Amino acid sequence: MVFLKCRQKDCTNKTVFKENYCFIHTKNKEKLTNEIHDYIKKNKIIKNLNFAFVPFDNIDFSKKEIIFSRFYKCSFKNANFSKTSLYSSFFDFTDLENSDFSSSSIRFVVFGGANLNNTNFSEVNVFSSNFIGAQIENTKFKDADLSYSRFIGAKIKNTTFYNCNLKKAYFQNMNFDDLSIKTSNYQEAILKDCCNGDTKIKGYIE
Amino acid sequence: MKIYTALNPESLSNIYLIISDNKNYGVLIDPGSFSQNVYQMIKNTSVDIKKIIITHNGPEQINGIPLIKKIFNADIYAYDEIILDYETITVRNDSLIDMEEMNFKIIETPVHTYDSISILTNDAIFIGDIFQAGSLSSFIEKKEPSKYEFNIIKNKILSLTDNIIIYPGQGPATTLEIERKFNPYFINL
Ligand SMILES: [Zn+2]
Repeated sequence: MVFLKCRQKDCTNKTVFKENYCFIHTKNKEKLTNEIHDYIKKNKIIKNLNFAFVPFDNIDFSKKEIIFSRFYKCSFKNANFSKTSLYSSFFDFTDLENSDFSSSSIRFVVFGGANLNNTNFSEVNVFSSNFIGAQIENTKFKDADLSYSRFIGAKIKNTTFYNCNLKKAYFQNMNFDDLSIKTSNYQEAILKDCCNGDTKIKGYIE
Repeated sequence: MKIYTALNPESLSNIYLIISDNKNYGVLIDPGSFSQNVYQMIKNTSVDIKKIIITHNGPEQINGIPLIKKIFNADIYAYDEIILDYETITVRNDSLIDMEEMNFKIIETPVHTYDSISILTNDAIFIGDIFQAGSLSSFIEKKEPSKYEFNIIKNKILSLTDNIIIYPGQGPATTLEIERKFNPYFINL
């Protein structure tokens, strides 16, 4: 995953998609956005591409493979990632709203600093992924394998962890405002300074 | 350049395979195991492993080397002169390792062990066990680095640009921006 530097003087961003400039310094953003959306529509494998700052509203990524790609600060509304395979890709500081990751495979993926609202992670297979500092609201993790993933410093609100595998999932400074965590194997998680309402909750390491 | 990750099944530490865009050659970082999944990762990419770089001389970083050396004629780069029974190409601060269009710059980061090095290439840095995403290197032992060690992390790693991706020896990848903003040990550094 090596992206070239944007040609705009003093810009530290990387070139977007197949352009010479980053998205911010692209003159015709609408045209480029349409080109990118069209590319996503036509290709099953999305590999080694930088999409930083591009908006992806109502885009269907379902059943695609997303590999070695960067979506830094992208916005996703009503995006469909169901049955998508995501590998070693970066969704850091993205806005994800009303999006669906059900039955997807998420391996070595970074969602650190992202805002997740009303997003569905049912039956997902998440492995060694990063949700550090994410703001997670009205979101559903259900029958999800979240083993070895990290939620350190994530802020959660009205979010369920129902019947999830939390083996060595790492939570720190978090308040689970929902009882559903009790239906998951939280005893096998790393829970540092975490509580469930007013009660401190303990994992295999506190 | 593409970066693949395999997990050492015993220690759950990360073994990284970096391959160039023309897919001829590969570099392995910290092959602590040459288990079936590591073998499969290399086989799937059909690359010839030319270089092995060791972030520090520990069993979780080196135990796969003897089996790898049976298949690939790879040079070993490390801070120590001898790794297992193999002579290494020793590296120090600012050493450069080139391979095809890829180049790797060594940064000495003696946190956790005296011989720890970090490996910077383009927008990625491999930091071994000096820290992990959102935490320190040894969150289980609760052993915090000394002030001297914190300063190494601060001055040599956290001072790099925001868009650098960090690949730790254990746990998921992260970025400089995430660590600076959310790692509870770095927020006030
Ligand atoms: Zn730019």
